[in-house]
Amino acid sequence: MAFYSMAFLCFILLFVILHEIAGRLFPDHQWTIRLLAGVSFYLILSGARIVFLLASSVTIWGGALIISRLAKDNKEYRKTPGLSKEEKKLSKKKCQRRQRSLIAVIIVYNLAILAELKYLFPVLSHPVALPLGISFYSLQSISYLVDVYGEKYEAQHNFGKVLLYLCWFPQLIQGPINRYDLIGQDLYKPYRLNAPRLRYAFYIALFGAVKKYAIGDLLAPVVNACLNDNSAGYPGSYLLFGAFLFAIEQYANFSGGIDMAMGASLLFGVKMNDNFRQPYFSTSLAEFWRRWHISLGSFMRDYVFYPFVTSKPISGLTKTINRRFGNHAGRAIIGGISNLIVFALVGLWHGPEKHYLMWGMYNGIIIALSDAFAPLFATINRTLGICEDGKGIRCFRIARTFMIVVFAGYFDVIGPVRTGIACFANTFLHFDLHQGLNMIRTLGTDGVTSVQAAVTACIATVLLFINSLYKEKGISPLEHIYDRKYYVRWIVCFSLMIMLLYSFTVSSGIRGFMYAAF
Amino acid sequence: MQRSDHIKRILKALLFVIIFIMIMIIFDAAFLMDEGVTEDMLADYSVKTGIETVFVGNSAGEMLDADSYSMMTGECAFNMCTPSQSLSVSLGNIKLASSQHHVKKAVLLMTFDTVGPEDYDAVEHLYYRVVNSSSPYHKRITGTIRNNMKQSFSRDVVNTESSLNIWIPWENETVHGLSNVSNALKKRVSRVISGDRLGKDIAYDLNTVIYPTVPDDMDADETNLLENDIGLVSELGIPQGLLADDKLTDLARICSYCSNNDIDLTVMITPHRSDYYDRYDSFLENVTIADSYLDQFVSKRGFMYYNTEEDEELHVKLPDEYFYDWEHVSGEYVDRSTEYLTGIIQMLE
Repeated sequence: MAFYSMAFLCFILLFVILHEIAGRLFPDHQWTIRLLAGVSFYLILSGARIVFLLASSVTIWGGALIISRLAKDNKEYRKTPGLSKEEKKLSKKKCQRRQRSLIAVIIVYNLAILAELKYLFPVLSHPVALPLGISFYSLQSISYLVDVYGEKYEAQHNFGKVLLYLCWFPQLIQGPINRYDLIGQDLYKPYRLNAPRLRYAFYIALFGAVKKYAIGDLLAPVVNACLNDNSAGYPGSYLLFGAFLFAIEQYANFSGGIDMAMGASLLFGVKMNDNFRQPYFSTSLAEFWRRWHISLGSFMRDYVFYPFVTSKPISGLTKTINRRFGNHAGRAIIGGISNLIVFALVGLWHGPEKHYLMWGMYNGIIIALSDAFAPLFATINRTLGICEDGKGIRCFRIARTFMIVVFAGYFDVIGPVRTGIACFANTFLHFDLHQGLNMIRTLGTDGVTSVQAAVTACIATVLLFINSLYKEKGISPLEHIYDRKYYVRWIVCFSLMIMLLYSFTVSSGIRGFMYAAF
Repeated sequence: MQRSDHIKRILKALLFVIIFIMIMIIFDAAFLMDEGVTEDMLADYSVKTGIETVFVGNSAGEMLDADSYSMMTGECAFNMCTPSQSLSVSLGNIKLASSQHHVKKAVLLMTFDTVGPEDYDAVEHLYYRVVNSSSPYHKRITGTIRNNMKQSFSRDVVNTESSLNIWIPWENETVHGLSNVSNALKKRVSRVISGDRLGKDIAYDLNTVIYPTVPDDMDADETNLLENDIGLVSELGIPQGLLADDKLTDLARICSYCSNNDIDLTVMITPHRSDYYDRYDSFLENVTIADSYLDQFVSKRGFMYYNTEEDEELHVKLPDEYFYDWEHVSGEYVDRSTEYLTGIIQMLE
């Protein structure tokens, strides 16, 4: 079900009305309408495969309660008068062992379902339809369970509320991977929709739709023509053009979809976690990953990277390396290895295909190398007298990071890894600007795209760039417009609506959300 | 909140909707897809009397001038061919003409694209609007709403972006290029200023014509036959992308309608430039298979199928310089192509 469709419009209208009625009649139980919306949405799109979601919900709900109970019992026990320190320590250890065992079993169970459906079956050439949002809610389940164990928050006693956290419908299509502590309050509190809130949600969704349809969908055919399984022989200039457009398409498609989901969620008073923070203004790849797909990046950081590097054997190893090779060595080697593991997982999270693993490793290797050589770069900068905070060096770093991301597109889009590598090599060894320009010209004559589509995508991209630029400076254009007189808002709104509608007429076909497939 | 604030807010919302509708109306005029060709054709049709023979099909069929044909044969003919006319619209045209005239003969002038997988939704939408434009206003609105609802909530569409875009008329009728836009605007404005409407009420209940829910023109046996025929497409090894099942269904419906209403139907693949088959490597081979299948398909239903390529003298009588592209004859040679096609039609009789 597309967000921009009659089915979704009717769905959302029905549940907004029910939600408002519930808000008046029984505000404390208004969340049950949200739950009903989530379950209905799931049933409509995924039918009987809801059992996988229910199974995950039951395990983490029950698991979190047991973990909580064990911690509570342990605390109670430790209050028993006359217990020695040793006994207290032993009791804590025992409790932690039990908790960890339980967490391990539940995580393995949830990941096993994900692995079986998403990786094993496709590898055995028996692809199955994945339960809706499994890649997203599986990670949400893990974060909830681990946070309850870490006593970040109390375990939720109400099963319905846990289920709502996992099946909140706007997040099911392509995320974000919401955190319980950030979204939980909004999910369960009473909320009343009013005109300004409705308007705000509408603007966010509208801008998201413009990104998705006027940029993402209009660029997609060009990207497909440039970057495909037969691209190995194409000139580098043509490939670079395709990869450049892919970077824009991917951002527009993904962030546009998230904005639309965000707008839908805001109608129910639920502010979902941010997933992007102007990623193409990053000065390094590591920073890029803190701004791009934030919910996945932060999940990997909090539940894979940190637990790994702070685990006893690894931190011991880091200290040993530091002692032997100097202070930076431990960080560089262990950090590098950790990054490779994290990005291999990020790659695999996208799918079982080899090129995703390659794409993940590409990111991991560059981050590891840049971290390892950071002192050397700092020394070079000092020697050359380059001001680290200067505007020039910042622009250079932004451009450099963007190009690194653009090159990553070869491994992200193109199926065969060999072809991806050949394309990467062609960018440097067989650039051939003349042939590339000729091939770009044929995109219009071969009917891949049209002047109208190209102009529309350009205008929308410029708008997106200006919007990002303002946001980077700390100004929210949306809120800026929102404070203006109604006719100014209307002009903006009508312009965006016309751009959106016009983009459909020049589009050669509607594409789904890229990340919905993950 | 005070009552006056409430009223103010409601008025603002109303004003917003009104402005939006006005913008959509302007866009609607500017993006009229075929620059009014369908409108012109139906305007001419509405003042025509005593039609006996009707030509339907896509723009390639415009190479047959109905007035010249009438002069040569003595039959009162009218050409209802329009750009990218789909088979369901052709059926609509035959039904429209036969419901208002005593039509004895119909000639379907088509290219292989007509029975291919290309989507003609936009044209059908446009046709529906134009045909209904002479209806009383309330009928037009209710008809449009009824049809849009039917399409918008249909199983295939309801989950897609099209389900909302159906409600924006110009979404389905878009022309590209500034000159097309200005032509369309000029035409629409001049029509409004001159008050030039379709002369006769040609409004027709198109729910059963263009968007039928059941194949109403076929009895149960024939529906089965159609299914069997469609099954043959794959059995004969016709490459995918050349013949589309839904188009064959429409062709079967045209045959069925003509059969039930005593209309003599001729299905004809129109002449084309000699390099027409050079478009794709395997095109000719595929076309031969499709051609033979269409021949069987139409003949089985008791009508005549003719591919002008069968005529060895085609490219002598209609040399390449008569065509301004693969399949469209230049205006100055239409008398030649009319003469040629009239001869073929008479020969087939």
